[in-house]
Amino acid sequence: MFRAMLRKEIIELAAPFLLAFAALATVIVEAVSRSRRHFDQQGAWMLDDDFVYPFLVISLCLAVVMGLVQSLSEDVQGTWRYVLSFPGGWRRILKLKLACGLAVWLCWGGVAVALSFLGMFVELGPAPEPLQKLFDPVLRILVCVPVVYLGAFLTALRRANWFFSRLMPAVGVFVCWFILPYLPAWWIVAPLATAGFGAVLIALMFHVASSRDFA
Amino acid sequence: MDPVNESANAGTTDAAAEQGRAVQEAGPERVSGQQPVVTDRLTKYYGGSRVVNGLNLTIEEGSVYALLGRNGAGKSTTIKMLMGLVHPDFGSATVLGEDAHNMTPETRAQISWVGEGHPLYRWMTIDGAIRFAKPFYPVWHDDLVEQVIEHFKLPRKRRLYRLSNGQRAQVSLALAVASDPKLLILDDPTIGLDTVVRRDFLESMIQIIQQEGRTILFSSHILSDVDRVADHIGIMLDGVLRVDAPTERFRDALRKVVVELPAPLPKPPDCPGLTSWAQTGNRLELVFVDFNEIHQSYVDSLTPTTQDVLELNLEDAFVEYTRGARGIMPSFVREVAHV
Repeated sequence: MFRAMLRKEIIELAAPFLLAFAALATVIVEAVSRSRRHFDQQGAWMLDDDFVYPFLVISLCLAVVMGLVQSLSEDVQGTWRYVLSFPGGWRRILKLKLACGLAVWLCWGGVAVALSFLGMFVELGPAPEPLQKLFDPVLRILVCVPVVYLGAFLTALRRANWFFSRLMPAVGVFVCWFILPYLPAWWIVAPLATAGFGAVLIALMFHVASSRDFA
Repeated sequence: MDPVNESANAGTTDAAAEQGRAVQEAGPERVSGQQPVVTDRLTKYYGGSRVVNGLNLTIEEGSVYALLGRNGAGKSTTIKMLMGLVHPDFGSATVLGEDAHNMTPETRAQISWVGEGHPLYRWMTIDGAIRFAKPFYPVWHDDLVEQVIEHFKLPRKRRLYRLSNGQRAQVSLALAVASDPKLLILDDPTIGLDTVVRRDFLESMIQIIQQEGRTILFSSHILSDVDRVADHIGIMLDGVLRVDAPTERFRDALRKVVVELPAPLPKPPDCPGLTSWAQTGNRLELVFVDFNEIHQSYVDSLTPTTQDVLELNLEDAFVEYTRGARGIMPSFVREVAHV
Protein backbone atom coordinates (compact mmCIF):
# COMPACT_ATOMS: atom_id res chain seq x y z
CA MET A 1 0.00 0.00 0.00
CA PHE A 2 2.80 2.39 0.97
CA ARG A 3 4.66 1.76 -2.27
CA ALA A 4 1.53 2.17 -4.39
CA MET A 5 0.71 5.48 -2.74
CA LEU A 6 4.34 6.62 -2.88
CA ARG A 7 4.53 5.83 -6.60
CA LYS A 8 1.32 7.74 -7.28
CA GLU A 9 2.38 10.78 -5.28
CA ILE A 10 5.84 10.90 -6.85
CA ILE A 11 4.38 10.73 -10.35
CA GLU A 12 1.94 13.53 -9.53
CA LEU A 13 4.70 15.68 -8.01
CA ALA A 14 7.21 14.97 -10.76
CA ALA A 15 6.10 17.78 -13.08
CA PRO A 16 6.42 20.67 -10.57
CA PHE A 17 9.64 19.15 -9.23
CA LEU A 18 11.24 18.99 -12.67
CA LEU A 19 10.09 22.50 -13.50
CA ALA A 20 11.65 23.77 -10.28
CA PHE A 21 14.81 21.81 -11.04
CA ALA A 22 15.07 23.38 -14.50
CA ALA A 23 14.48 26.86 -13.07
CA LEU A 24 17.13 26.40 -10.37
CA ALA A 25 19.66 25.03 -12.87
CA THR A 26 19.08 28.08 -15.06
CA VAL A 27 19.54 30.43 -12.11
CA ILE A 28 22.82 28.72 -11.09
CA VAL A 29 24.20 28.69 -14.62
CA GLU A 30 23.39 32.36 -14.93
CA ALA A 31 24.94 33.15 -11.52
CA VAL A 32 28.15 31.27 -12.31
CA SER A 33 28.55 32.86 -15.73
CA ARG A 34 27.93 36.33 -14.27
CA SER A 35 30.45 35.66 -11.52
CA ARG A 36 33.05 34.61 -14.10
CA ARG A 37 32.59 37.87 -15.97
CA HIS A 38 33.46 39.77 -12.77
CA PHE A 39 36.61 38.21 -11.32
CA ASP A 40 36.38 40.14 -8.07
CA GLN A 41 32.99 38.47 -7.43
CA GLN A 42 34.22 34.89 -7.81
CA GLY A 43 32.74 32.48 -5.29
CA ALA A 44 30.48 35.08 -3.80
CA TRP A 45 27.43 34.42 -5.95
CA MET A 46 25.84 32.08 -3.44
CA LEU A 47 25.59 34.94 -0.99
CA ASP A 48 24.32 37.25 -3.69
CA ASP A 49 20.68 38.35 -3.76
CA ASP A 50 20.60 37.50 -7.49
CA PHE A 51 20.89 33.85 -6.48
CA VAL A 52 19.24 33.80 -3.04
CA TYR A 53 15.97 35.46 -4.02
CA PRO A 54 15.35 33.37 -7.16
CA PHE A 55 16.12 30.26 -5.15
CA LEU A 56 13.74 31.38 -2.42
CA VAL A 57 10.99 32.15 -4.94
CA ILE A 58 11.46 28.82 -6.73
CA SER A 59 11.39 26.95 -3.42
CA LEU A 60 8.28 28.78 -2.24
CA CYS A 61 6.51 28.14 -5.54
CA LEU A 62 7.44 24.47 -5.44
CA ALA A 63 6.22 24.17 -1.84
CA VAL A 64 2.87 25.81 -2.64
CA VAL A 65 2.35 23.78 -5.83
CA MET A 66 3.25 20.54 -4.06
CA GLY A 67 0.70 21.23 -1.31
CA LEU A 68 -1.99 22.09 -3.81
CA VAL A 69 -1.24 19.14 -6.10
CA GLN A 70 -1.47 16.71 -3.21
CA SER A 71 -4.71 18.06 -1.85
CA LEU A 72 -6.61 20.30 -4.25
CA SER A 73 -6.11 18.03 -7.25
CA GLU A 74 -7.82 15.21 -5.34
CA ASP A 75 -10.80 17.49 -4.79
CA VAL A 76 -10.84 18.66 -8.39
CA GLN A 77 -10.61 15.13 -9.82
CA GLY A 78 -13.08 13.84 -7.22
CA THR A 79 -10.55 11.20 -6.24
CA TRP A 80 -10.58 11.84 -2.50
CA ARG A 81 -13.76 9.75 -2.47
CA TYR A 82 -12.06 7.00 -4.43
CA VAL A 83 -8.91 6.76 -2.38
CA LEU A 84 -10.79 7.13 0.90
CA SER A 85 -13.07 4.24 -0.04
CA PHE A 86 -10.03 1.97 0.21
CA PRO A 87 -9.49 -0.04 3.39
CA GLY A 88 -6.54 2.09 4.50
CA GLY A 89 -8.67 4.81 6.06
CA TRP A 90 -8.17 8.54 5.79
CA ARG A 91 -5.57 8.81 8.57
CA ARG A 92 -3.18 6.45 6.84
CA ILE A 93 -3.79 8.06 3.45
CA LEU A 94 -3.07 11.51 4.88
CA LYS A 95 0.07 10.31 6.67
CA LEU A 96 1.32 8.71 3.48
CA LYS A 97 0.68 11.86 1.49
CA LEU A 98 2.55 14.01 4.00
CA ALA A 99 5.41 11.55 4.20
CA CYS A 100 5.68 11.56 0.41
CA GLY A 101 5.53 15.35 0.26
CA LEU A 102 8.25 15.77 2.88
CA ALA A 103 10.36 13.09 1.17
CA VAL A 104 10.08 14.99 -2.11
CA TRP A 105 11.07 18.17 -0.26
CA LEU A 106 14.17 16.41 1.09
CA CYS A 107 14.99 15.38 -2.48
CA TRP A 108 14.58 19.00 -3.50
CA GLY A 109 17.01 19.97 -0.74
CA GLY A 110 19.48 17.39 -1.97
CA VAL A 111 19.13 18.57 -5.53
CA ALA A 112 19.51 22.21 -4.52
CA VAL A 113 22.65 21.52 -2.46
CA ALA A 114 24.11 19.30 -5.19
CA LEU A 115 23.46 21.87 -7.92
CA SER A 116 24.91 24.65 -5.79
CA PHE A 117 27.97 22.57 -5.00
CA LEU A 118 28.36 21.72 -8.67
CA GLY A 119 28.16 25.42 -9.53
CA MET A 120 30.82 26.22 -6.96
CA PHE A 121 33.01 23.39 -8.17
CA VAL A 122 32.75 24.51 -11.80
CA GLU A 123 33.66 28.03 -10.80
CA LEU A 124 36.37 27.54 -8.21
CA GLY A 125 37.69 24.03 -8.84
CA PRO A 126 38.28 21.45 -6.11
CA ALA A 127 39.05 23.92 -3.32
CA PRO A 128 35.88 25.82 -2.55
CA GLU A 129 35.41 28.13 0.38
CA PRO A 130 34.11 26.56 3.58
CA LEU A 131 30.79 24.84 2.76
CA GLN A 132 28.97 26.16 5.81
CA LYS A 133 29.39 29.72 4.65
CA LEU A 134 28.52 28.95 1.04
CA PHE A 135 25.44 26.90 1.73
CA ASP A 136 24.14 29.07 4.51
CA PRO A 137 21.36 30.80 2.49
CA VAL A 138 20.36 27.56 0.75
CA LEU A 139 20.03 25.71 4.03
CA ARG A 140 18.10 28.54 5.66
CA ILE A 141 15.54 28.42 2.89
CA LEU A 142 15.33 24.63 2.81
CA VAL A 143 14.71 24.47 6.54
CA CYS A 144 12.10 27.22 6.65
CA VAL A 145 9.97 26.68 3.55
CA PRO A 146 8.32 23.31 4.48
CA VAL A 147 5.75 25.21 6.56
CA VAL A 148 4.61 26.81 3.32
CA TYR A 149 4.07 23.34 1.83
CA LEU A 150 2.06 22.31 4.88
CA GLY A 151 0.12 25.56 4.80
CA ALA A 152 -0.76 25.10 1.13
CA PHE A 153 -1.85 21.52 1.79
CA LEU A 154 -4.06 22.63 4.68
CA THR A 155 -5.53 25.48 2.67
CA ALA A 156 -6.61 23.14 -0.09
CA LEU A 157 -7.87 20.54 2.35
CA ARG A 158 -9.88 23.03 4.34
CA ARG A 159 -13.21 24.17 2.97
CA ALA A 160 -13.71 27.92 2.72
CA ASN A 161 -15.95 28.28 5.75
CA TRP A 162 -12.99 29.00 8.03
CA PHE A 163 -11.23 31.83 6.31
CA PHE A 164 -8.18 31.96 8.56
CA SER A 165 -6.95 28.62 7.26
CA ARG A 166 -7.04 30.06 3.76
CA LEU A 167 -4.34 32.44 4.90
CA MET A 168 -2.04 29.74 6.21
CA PRO A 169 0.34 29.82 3.25
CA ALA A 170 0.59 33.59 3.53
CA VAL A 171 1.42 33.21 7.22
CA GLY A 172 3.97 30.54 6.32
CA VAL A 173 5.55 32.72 3.66
CA PHE A 174 5.66 35.65 6.05
CA VAL A 175 7.32 33.60 8.75
CA CYS A 176 9.83 32.10 6.34
CA TRP A 177 10.68 35.14 4.37
CA PHE A 178 10.78 37.81 7.03
CA ILE A 179 11.47 36.10 10.30
CA LEU A 180 12.96 32.64 10.45
CA PRO A 181 16.02 32.98 8.18
CA TYR A 182 17.09 36.18 9.89
CA LEU A 183 16.82 35.09 13.48
CA PRO A 184 20.04 35.03 15.51
CA ALA A 185 21.40 31.49 15.85
CA TRP A 186 18.96 30.51 13.10
CA TRP A 187 20.38 27.00 12.81
CA ILE A 188 18.82 26.24 16.19
CA VAL A 189 15.79 28.52 16.25
CA ALA A 190 14.59 28.09 12.67
CA PRO A 191 14.41 24.27 12.70
CA LEU A 192 12.66 24.33 16.06
CA ALA A 193 10.20 26.99 14.95
CA THR A 194 9.58 25.17 11.67
CA ALA A 195 9.01 21.91 13.50
CA GLY A 196 6.65 23.55 15.98
CA PHE A 197 4.66 25.44 13.37
CA GLY A 198 4.65 22.36 11.13
CA ALA A 199 3.30 20.21 13.96
CA VAL A 200 0.46 22.67 14.50
CA LEU A 201 -0.36 22.64 10.78
CA ILE A 202 -0.31 18.83 10.66
CA ALA A 203 -2.57 18.62 13.71
CA LEU A 204 -4.97 21.06 12.00
CA MET A 205 -4.90 18.93 8.85
CA PHE A 206 -5.94 15.84 10.77
CA HIS A 207 -8.65 17.79 12.53
CA VAL A 208 -9.94 19.17 9.23
CA ALA A 209 -9.83 15.77 7.51
CA SER A 210 -11.74 14.15 10.37
CA SER A 211 -14.49 16.74 10.31
CA ARG A 212 -14.93 17.65 6.65
CA ASP A 213 -17.14 15.93 4.11
CA PHE A 214 -15.47 14.35 1.09
CA ALA A 215 -18.54 14.78 -1.09
CA MET B 1 -47.05 31.07 -8.74
CA ASP B 2 -50.04 29.55 -10.44
CA PRO B 3 -52.60 29.13 -7.62
CA VAL B 4 -53.83 25.89 -9.12
CA ASN B 5 -50.36 24.36 -9.12
CA GLU B 6 -49.51 25.73 -5.71
CA SER B 7 -52.52 24.25 -3.98
CA ALA B 8 -52.25 21.05 -5.93
CA ASN B 9 -48.59 20.55 -5.01
CA ALA B 10 -49.26 21.25 -1.38
CA GLY B 11 -52.00 18.67 -1.37
CA THR B 12 -50.05 15.96 -3.08
CA THR B 13 -46.96 16.28 -0.89
CA ASP B 14 -48.93 15.02 2.06
CA ALA B 15 -50.65 12.50 -0.14
CA ALA B 16 -47.31 11.20 -1.35
CA ALA B 17 -46.15 10.75 2.22
CA GLU B 18 -49.30 8.82 2.99
CA GLN B 19 -48.91 6.64 -0.07
CA GLY B 20 -45.26 6.01 0.67
CA ARG B 21 -46.15 4.78 4.09
CA ALA B 22 -48.89 2.71 2.54
CA VAL B 23 -46.46 1.06 0.13
CA GLN B 24 -43.94 0.42 2.87
CA GLU B 25 -46.50 -0.97 5.27
CA ALA B 26 -48.18 -3.12 2.68
CA GLY B 27 -44.94 -4.73 1.52
CA PRO B 28 -44.35 -8.36 2.47
CA GLU B 29 -42.31 -8.95 5.58
CA ARG B 30 -38.60 -9.25 4.98
CA VAL B 31 -36.86 -12.49 5.76
CA SER B 32 -34.92 -11.78 8.90
CA GLY B 33 -31.20 -12.31 8.57
CA GLN B 34 -28.04 -10.27 8.58
CA GLN B 35 -28.49 -6.72 7.54
CA PRO B 36 -25.42 -5.24 5.87
CA VAL B 37 -26.89 -1.75 5.82
CA VAL B 38 -28.98 -0.21 8.59
CA THR B 39 -29.61 3.48 9.03
CA ASP B 40 -31.42 5.12 11.92
CA ARG B 41 -32.93 8.57 11.38
CA LEU B 42 -29.99 9.48 9.17
CA THR B 43 -30.11 13.21 8.46
CA LYS B 44 -27.87 15.59 6.54
CA TYR B 45 -28.10 19.31 5.98
CA TYR B 46 -26.28 21.27 3.30
CA GLY B 47 -26.50 24.93 4.19
CA GLY B 48 -30.03 25.36 5.43
CA SER B 49 -31.39 22.62 3.22
CA ARG B 50 -32.15 19.18 4.63
CA VAL B 51 -31.02 16.85 1.84
CA VAL B 52 -31.52 13.61 3.76
CA ASN B 53 -34.29 13.62 6.29
CA GLY B 54 -34.57 10.96 9.00
CA LEU B 55 -33.71 8.06 6.75
CA ASN B 56 -34.50 4.63 8.19
CA LEU B 57 -33.18 2.10 5.73
CA THR B 58 -32.52 -1.60 6.18
CA ILE B 59 -31.05 -3.77 3.47
CA GLU B 60 -31.07 -7.54 3.84
CA GLU B 61 -28.08 -9.68 3.03
CA GLY B 62 -28.07 -10.97 -0.53
CA SER B 63 -30.54 -8.46 -1.83
CA VAL B 64 -30.12 -6.05 -4.72
CA TYR B 65 -31.48 -2.74 -3.54
CA ALA B 66 -32.04 0.16 -5.91
CA LEU B 67 -32.19 3.61 -4.41
CA LEU B 68 -34.23 5.83 -6.70
CA GLY B 69 -35.18 9.44 -6.76
CA ARG B 70 -35.03 12.56 -8.85
CA ASN B 71 -31.97 14.78 -9.00
CA GLY B 72 -31.29 16.24 -5.57
CA ALA B 73 -33.45 13.68 -3.78
CA GLY B 74 -30.57 12.71 -1.49
CA LYS B 75 -29.45 9.38 -3.00
CA SER B 76 -25.79 10.22 -3.49
CA THR B 77 -25.54 11.92 -0.12
CA THR B 78 -27.01 8.82 1.51
CA ILE B 79 -24.50 6.59 -0.25
CA LYS B 80 -21.63 8.88 0.72
CA MET B 81 -22.76 8.73 4.34
CA LEU B 82 -22.84 4.94 4.13
CA MET B 83 -19.27 5.02 2.81
CA GLY B 84 -18.18 7.32 5.63
CA LEU B 85 -17.30 10.09 3.20
CA VAL B 86 -19.92 12.48 4.51
CA HIS B 87 -20.77 13.08 8.17
CA PRO B 88 -24.43 12.80 9.12
CA ASP B 89 -25.78 15.72 11.12
CA PHE B 90 -28.09 13.42 13.00
CA GLY B 91 -28.76 9.70 13.21
CA SER B 92 -26.45 6.84 12.40
CA ALA B 93 -25.49 4.47 9.62
CA THR B 94 -24.27 0.96 10.30
CA VAL B 95 -22.54 -0.92 7.52
CA LEU B 96 -21.58 -4.58 7.96
CA GLY B 97 -22.16 -4.14 11.67
CA GLU B 98 -19.91 -1.12 12.15
CA ASP B 99 -20.52 2.59 12.32
CA ALA B 100 -20.05 3.89 8.78
CA HIS B 101 -17.73 6.65 9.89
CA ASN B 102 -15.45 4.52 12.00
CA MET B 103 -15.13 1.33 10.00
CA THR B 104 -12.08 -0.81 10.59
CA PRO B 105 -9.89 -1.49 7.56
CA GLU B 106 -10.99 -5.15 7.75
CA THR B 107 -14.64 -4.19 7.35
CA ARG B 108 -13.91 -1.59 4.72
CA ALA B 109 -12.04 -4.24 2.74
CA GLN B 110 -15.34 -6.10 2.38
CA ILE B 111 -17.02 -3.13 0.73
CA SER B 112 -16.49 -1.93 -2.81
CA TRP B 113 -17.72 1.37 -4.07
CA VAL B 114 -18.26 2.65 -7.58
CA GLY B 115 -18.68 6.40 -7.45
CA GLU B 116 -20.79 8.65 -9.61
CA GLY B 117 -18.74 9.70 -12.64
CA HIS B 118 -16.20 6.95 -11.89
CA PRO B 119 -13.60 9.00 -10.01
CA LEU B 120 -10.32 7.32 -10.88
CA TYR B 121 -6.85 8.76 -11.42
CA ARG B 122 -7.21 9.47 -15.09
CA TRP B 123 -3.52 9.80 -15.79
CA MET B 124 -3.10 6.12 -14.89
CA THR B 125 -3.30 3.33 -17.42
CA ILE B 126 -5.77 0.52 -16.75
CA ASP B 127 -2.88 -1.67 -15.64
CA GLY B 128 -1.62 1.18 -13.47
CA ALA B 129 -5.03 1.63 -11.85
CA ILE B 130 -5.10 -2.09 -11.04
CA ARG B 131 -1.55 -1.99 -9.66
CA PHE B 132 -2.48 1.04 -7.56
CA ALA B 133 -5.67 -0.40 -6.03
CA LYS B 134 -4.48 -3.97 -5.44
CA PRO B 135 -2.10 -3.42 -2.47
CA PHE B 136 -4.84 -1.75 -0.43
CA TYR B 137 -6.89 -4.94 -0.20
CA PRO B 138 -6.00 -8.09 1.72
CA VAL B 139 -7.86 -10.21 -0.85
CA TRP B 140 -7.56 -9.49 -4.54
CA HIS B 141 -8.71 -11.75 -7.36
CA ASP B 142 -6.63 -11.07 -10.42
CA ASP B 143 -8.73 -13.62 -12.29
CA LEU B 144 -11.93 -11.62 -11.70
CA VAL B 145 -10.29 -8.42 -12.94
CA GLU B 146 -8.94 -10.34 -15.90
CA GLN B 147 -12.40 -11.68 -16.72
CA VAL B 148 -13.98 -8.24 -16.75
CA ILE B 149 -11.08 -6.70 -18.72
CA GLU B 150 -11.21 -9.51 -21.26
CA HIS B 151 -14.98 -9.46 -21.46
CA PHE B 152 -15.08 -5.76 -22.28
CA LYS B 153 -11.88 -5.95 -24.36
CA LEU B 154 -10.39 -3.03 -22.48
CA PRO B 155 -7.00 -1.72 -23.69
CA ARG B 156 -4.83 -2.32 -20.63
CA LYS B 157 -2.05 0.07 -21.62
CA ARG B 158 -4.30 3.00 -22.39
CA ARG B 159 -4.60 5.88 -19.95
CA LEU B 160 -8.01 6.35 -18.36
CA TYR B 161 -8.48 9.88 -19.70
CA ARG B 162 -8.34 8.42 -23.20
CA LEU B 163 -11.14 5.94 -22.49
CA SER B 164 -14.82 6.55 -23.10
CA ASN B 165 -17.20 6.99 -20.16
CA GLY B 166 -18.43 3.47 -20.73
CA GLN B 167 -14.93 2.01 -20.63
CA ARG B 168 -14.15 3.92 -17.45
CA ALA B 169 -17.32 2.48 -15.93
CA GLN B 170 -16.13 -0.99 -16.92
CA VAL B 171 -12.73 -0.36 -15.33
CA SER B 172 -14.50 0.79 -12.15
CA LEU B 173 -16.54 -2.38 -12.12
CA ALA B 174 -13.44 -4.53 -12.65
CA LEU B 175 -11.70 -2.82 -9.74
CA ALA B 176 -14.80 -3.08 -7.56
CA VAL B 177 -15.28 -6.82 -7.99
CA ALA B 178 -11.61 -7.74 -7.61
CA SER B 179 -11.68 -7.65 -3.83
CA ASP B 180 -14.68 -10.02 -3.80
CA PRO B 181 -16.72 -7.66 -1.62
CA LYS B 182 -19.62 -8.68 0.59
CA LEU B 183 -21.25 -5.35 -0.11
CA LEU B 184 -21.07 -3.57 -3.43
CA ILE B 185 -22.25 0.03 -3.46
CA LEU B 186 -22.71 1.75 -6.80
CA ASP B 187 -23.65 5.39 -7.09
CA ASP B 188 -25.44 5.90 -10.40
CA PRO B 189 -22.96 3.63 -12.21
CA THR B 190 -24.63 3.77 -15.61
CA ILE B 191 -25.15 7.51 -15.85
CA GLY B 192 -23.89 8.89 -19.15
CA LEU B 193 -23.55 5.49 -20.81
CA ASP B 194 -25.24 4.58 -24.07
CA THR B 195 -27.84 1.84 -24.17
CA VAL B 196 -25.53 -0.93 -25.39
CA VAL B 197 -22.76 -0.21 -22.91
CA ARG B 198 -25.31 0.12 -20.15
CA ARG B 199 -26.78 -3.25 -21.04
CA ASP B 200 -23.31 -4.84 -21.05
CA PHE B 201 -22.53 -3.27 -17.72
CA LEU B 202 -25.75 -4.59 -16.24
CA GLU B 203 -25.24 -8.08 -17.63
CA SER B 204 -21.89 -8.13 -15.87
CA MET B 205 -23.49 -6.82 -12.72
CA ILE B 206 -26.09 -9.59 -12.88
CA GLN B 207 -23.30 -12.17 -13.08
CA ILE B 208 -21.67 -10.61 -10.06
CA ILE B 209 -24.97 -10.58 -8.22
CA GLN B 210 -25.36 -14.30 -8.73
CA GLN B 211 -22.56 -14.91 -6.26
CA GLU B 212 -24.16 -16.09 -3.07
CA GLY B 213 -24.49 -13.76 -0.12
CA ARG B 214 -23.38 -10.63 -1.91
CA THR B 215 -25.44 -7.54 -1.26
CA ILE B 216 -25.69 -4.74 -3.79
CA LEU B 217 -26.92 -1.23 -3.21
CA PHE B 218 -27.10 1.02 -6.22
CA SER B 219 -28.68 4.30 -7.12
CA SER B 220 -29.95 4.97 -10.58
CA HIS B 221 -32.08 7.18 -12.75
CA ILE B 222 -32.65 4.51 -15.36
CA LEU B 223 -35.69 2.54 -14.40
CA SER B 224 -35.38 -0.13 -17.05
CA ASP B 225 -32.02 -1.02 -15.47
CA VAL B 226 -33.57 -1.19 -12.05
CA ASP B 227 -36.39 -3.38 -13.29
CA ARG B 228 -33.87 -5.86 -14.64
CA VAL B 229 -31.69 -6.27 -11.59
CA ALA B 230 -33.22 -4.96 -8.37
CA ASP B 231 -35.38 -7.02 -6.06
CA HIS B 232 -36.07 -4.09 -3.73
CA ILE B 233 -36.44 -0.40 -4.39
CA GLY B 234 -36.36 2.64 -2.20
CA ILE B 235 -37.67 5.93 -3.54
CA MET B 236 -36.44 9.14 -2.00
CA LEU B 237 -38.38 12.35 -2.40
CA ASP B 238 -36.86 15.54 -1.03
CA GLY B 239 -34.57 13.60 1.26
CA VAL B 240 -37.31 11.36 2.64
CA LEU B 241 -37.57 7.64 1.90
CA ARG B 242 -41.14 7.45 0.66
CA VAL B 243 -41.11 3.93 -0.70
CA ASP B 244 -39.26 0.89 0.57
CA ALA B 245 -40.72 -2.19 -1.06
CA PRO B 246 -40.04 -5.13 -3.36
CA THR B 247 -39.84 -3.93 -6.94
CA GLU B 248 -42.87 -5.89 -8.12
CA ARG B 249 -44.93 -4.73 -5.19
CA PHE B 250 -44.33 -1.08 -6.05
CA ARG B 251 -44.98 -1.62 -9.74
CA ASP B 252 -48.23 -3.43 -9.05
CA ALA B 253 -49.41 -0.98 -6.42
CA LEU B 254 -49.89 2.00 -8.71
CA ARG B 255 -52.75 2.44 -11.15
CA LYS B 256 -53.46 5.35 -13.44
CA VAL B 257 -57.07 6.23 -14.07
CA VAL B 258 -57.74 8.38 -17.13
CA VAL B 259 -61.14 10.05 -17.23
CA GLU B 260 -62.91 12.47 -19.56
CA LEU B 261 -64.96 14.99 -17.63
CA PRO B 262 -67.87 17.11 -18.81
CA ALA B 263 -65.97 20.22 -17.65
CA PRO B 264 -62.45 20.84 -16.25
CA LEU B 265 -62.04 20.82 -12.48
CA PRO B 266 -60.07 23.54 -10.69
CA LYS B 267 -58.62 20.76 -8.53
CA PRO B 268 -59.77 17.20 -7.90
CA PRO B 269 -61.09 16.63 -4.38
CA ASP B 270 -58.67 15.01 -1.92
CA CYS B 271 -58.81 11.26 -1.58
CA PRO B 272 -56.70 8.82 0.47
CA GLY B 273 -54.48 6.92 -1.95
CA LEU B 274 -54.47 9.61 -4.63
CA THR B 275 -50.77 10.18 -5.34
CA SER B 276 -50.85 12.65 -8.19
CA TRP B 277 -53.06 14.10 -10.84
CA ALA B 278 -52.71 15.94 -14.11
CA GLN B 279 -55.33 17.72 -16.18
CA THR B 280 -55.35 18.69 -19.83
CA GLY B 281 -58.63 20.27 -20.88
CA ASN B 282 -61.39 17.87 -19.92
CA ARG B 283 -58.98 14.95 -19.60
CA LEU B 284 -57.96 14.13 -16.04
CA GLU B 285 -55.31 11.58 -15.07
CA LEU B 286 -55.34 10.26 -11.51
CA VAL B 287 -52.71 7.98 -9.99
CA PHE B 288 -53.71 5.81 -7.04
CA VAL B 289 -51.82 3.51 -4.72
CA ASP B 290 -53.59 0.17 -4.19
CA PHE B 291 -56.56 1.02 -6.38
CA ASN B 292 -59.74 -0.33 -4.76
CA GLU B 293 -63.50 0.16 -4.49
CA ILE B 294 -63.15 3.40 -2.55
CA HIS B 295 -61.05 4.86 -5.33
CA GLN B 296 -63.51 3.58 -7.93
CA SER B 297 -66.37 5.31 -6.09
CA TYR B 298 -64.27 8.49 -5.96
CA VAL B 299 -63.74 8.33 -9.73
CA ASP B 300 -67.44 7.66 -10.30
CA SER B 301 -68.30 10.70 -8.18
CA LEU B 302 -66.53 12.88 -10.72
CA THR B 303 -69.20 11.81 -13.26
CA PRO B 304 -66.74 11.04 -16.05
CA THR B 305 -67.98 10.43 -19.59
CA THR B 306 -65.26 7.79 -20.12
CA GLN B 307 -62.72 6.13 -17.84
CA ASP B 308 -59.75 3.77 -18.25
CA VAL B 309 -57.77 2.06 -15.49
CA LEU B 310 -54.19 1.50 -16.65
CA GLU B 311 -51.38 -0.62 -15.22
CA LEU B 312 -47.99 1.03 -15.15
CA ASN B 313 -44.52 -0.26 -15.81
CA LEU B 314 -41.83 0.60 -13.27
CA GLU B 315 -40.65 3.68 -15.11
CA ASP B 316 -44.15 5.08 -15.48
CA ALA B 317 -44.95 4.19 -11.88
CA PHE B 318 -41.81 5.99 -10.70
CA VAL B 319 -42.54 9.05 -12.82
CA GLU B 320 -46.13 9.27 -11.71
CA TYR B 321 -45.17 8.75 -8.09
CA THR B 322 -42.39 11.30 -7.97
CA ARG B 323 -43.78 13.96 -10.27
CA GLY B 324 -46.63 15.09 -8.07
CA ALA B 325 -49.50 17.19 -9.40
CA ARG B 326 -49.00 19.05 -12.65
CA GLY B 327 -52.38 20.72 -12.91
CA ILE B 328 -52.70 22.53 -16.20
CA MET B 329 -49.46 23.85 -17.67
CA PRO B 330 -49.73 27.43 -19.03
CA SER B 331 -48.97 26.41 -22.63
CA PHE B 332 -51.71 23.85 -22.49
CA VAL B 333 -54.09 26.49 -21.21
CA ARG B 334 -53.41 28.61 -24.31
CA GLU B 335 -53.79 25.56 -26.50
CA VAL B 336 -57.12 24.76 -24.92
CA ALA B 337 -58.21 28.38 -25.24
CA HIS B 338 -57.46 28.37 -29.00
CA VAL B 339 -59.41 25.20 -29.48
